[in-house]
Amino acid sequence: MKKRPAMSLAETHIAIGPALGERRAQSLAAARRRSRFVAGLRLALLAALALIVLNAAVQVLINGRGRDFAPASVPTGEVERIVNPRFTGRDAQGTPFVVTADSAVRQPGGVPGLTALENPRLDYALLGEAAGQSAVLAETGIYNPQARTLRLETGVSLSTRSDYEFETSSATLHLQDSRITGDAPVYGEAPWGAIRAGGFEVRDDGRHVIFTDGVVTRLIIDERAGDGAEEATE
Amino acid sequence: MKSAVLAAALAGVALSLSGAAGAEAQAGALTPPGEGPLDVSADDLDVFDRENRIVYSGDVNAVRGDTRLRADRVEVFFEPAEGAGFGAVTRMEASGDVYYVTPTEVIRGDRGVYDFVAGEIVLSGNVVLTQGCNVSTGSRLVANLETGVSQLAGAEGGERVRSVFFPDRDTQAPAAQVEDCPRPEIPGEGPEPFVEG
Repeated sequence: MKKRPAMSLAETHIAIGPALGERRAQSLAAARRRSRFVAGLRLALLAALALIVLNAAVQVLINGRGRDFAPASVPTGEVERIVNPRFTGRDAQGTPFVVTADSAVRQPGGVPGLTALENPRLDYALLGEAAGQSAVLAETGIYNPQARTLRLETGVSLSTRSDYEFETSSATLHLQDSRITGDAPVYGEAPWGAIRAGGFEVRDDGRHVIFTDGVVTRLIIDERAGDGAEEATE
Repeated sequence: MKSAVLAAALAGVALSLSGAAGAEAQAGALTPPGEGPLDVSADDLDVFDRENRIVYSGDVNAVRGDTRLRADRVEVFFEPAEGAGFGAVTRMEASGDVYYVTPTEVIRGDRGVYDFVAGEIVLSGNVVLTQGCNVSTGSRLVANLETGVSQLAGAEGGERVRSVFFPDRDTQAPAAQVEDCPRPEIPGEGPEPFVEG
């Protein structure tokens, strides 16, 4: 094996110098490329984040329309107007009820949550399936979520599941204990006839109805009363 | 008619129809209720859906045609409808100052039952039957609304039937025409007419 001849220091320096400068330049260029890449990534991340936030906001707005649990609120100065409001709850027996309306205005101050309703409706067992959610109970109403009462005013029309119909100018549904009271003159129709009275109350889930303050009724007398019983015994 | 015979024979005399307790006497032909709907007015009304029963209280007046039933309290019973709910009226039970008023008679009692199925009205407890100037008292009056025959009975082991007749009076004339025999005063404000919805 041949030995390489030894280089002098000067010869060595001359040989290494250009190579080292070239490597430094390459390193610097690579570092700059990485910085530009990271900055680009940062921008892309921020843009993606902004898009996600924007998308979420748009989704909330789109889903909020027509959904009862997220009514669209339109600030109108002192009061808050709600479109298609929906209030849910349960009575003392655990029977669910749903109060809806065309629109609502929250009453500022006073009772928290007190809401004035336009064309209130009620989905509740006491009113029966015939009434349902689609039946407008009155022109206006006031829902009190604290007391769980729905006060109806102007053109009140109620039907119970025991086939009673009431027309009056005002009435209150006590949703907590499944009662209806009215202290204004009422005209009613029942399975046994028709009634006019100064006031009324529906108790015991509709099984006990009381008319007060001067009652006038018309009973339709079926002359065949008892015929069925007689036929059954023959 | 037995009452007419008695009237001719015992005019102006307070009559004890029989010495036997619980004796009965024909009280003449009672005017049956008219046709059509039954209008009832009262202070208050309670409806008991499950029992097919409604209860009027406070100056109750039930009017049908020319007849009127007045009481402090009236319960109306209905037969059950097919399936559930109210069917036809079967019976009315009245209590407290009960009056059955027709154009020609006024009958007072403590209690009254109007049975629509049997076609019968029964008044009991201190019954006073007034027909124009003629007055009869007893403890129980049963009026068959189909035959028109009514019977007044005394109490079991108690008060007997008593009658005062005035044969020269027209007992069938409307009370308003019997000037010197005014009708008994009916308590309360009187019936309230039903106005259609």
